[in-house]
Amino acid sequence: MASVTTPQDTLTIDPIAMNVINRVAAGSVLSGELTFDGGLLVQGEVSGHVRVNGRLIVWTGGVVRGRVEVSGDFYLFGSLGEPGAEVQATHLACHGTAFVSKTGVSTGTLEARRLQLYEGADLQGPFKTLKLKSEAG
Amino acid sequence: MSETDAFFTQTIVGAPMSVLLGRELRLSVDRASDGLKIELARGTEVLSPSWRSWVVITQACTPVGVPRMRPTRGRRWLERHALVIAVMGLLSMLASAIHWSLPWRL
Repeated sequence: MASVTTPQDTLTIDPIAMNVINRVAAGSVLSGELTFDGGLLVQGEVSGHVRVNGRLIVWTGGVVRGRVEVSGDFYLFGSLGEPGAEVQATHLACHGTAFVSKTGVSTGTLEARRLQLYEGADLQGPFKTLKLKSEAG
Repeated sequence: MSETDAFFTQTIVGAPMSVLLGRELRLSVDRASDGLKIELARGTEVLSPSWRSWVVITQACTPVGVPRMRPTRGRRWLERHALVIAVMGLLSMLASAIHWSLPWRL
């Protein structure tokens, strides 16, 4: 019997078109009460109370910890939460779609309106469907 | 976004790039049954998700931030060698023009 393999997906990250105007470079560590107006590309480490008014892209090697709120889509190529830490330690609420790629690792609580998982994605923490107040009523 | 903002965004965040997401995990594996959905009550027609990727990839402008199917090996080869193919095409057109214009000059 012939096996049918699903073709792989690619994502084109165009910072200008996606309005990703902020970047935490590899080796950089940001912590505290942080608000980003526009999308954010994380290649280093970000922790604390983080609010992103746009898309959040966690690159391979990038780490996000703490309480995070994303108004746009969320793309996980790196890590969400600390390995071995409790699932409550990191909580991410995404108002759009959460994409967890084959290299993505999530040890925290992921809450999103939609979830798209890819083969090899490591979802160790729970996933919850985010319901907006208008939808819940 | 103004030209200055776009310039700084590209300088700081980087140029557009493509990254591999992997194979999408789906609950429904029966793609053959998917097709055009027609709502009988309204008469509207909607393409099912299986076909949307195919439609997206054939369009020039893909939606921003939406994953698409990885191009096939042949297409990737063509994209990598697009400049060489274009130069070869121009050279052959030039050679052809010279070849066919010679008898008129003589």
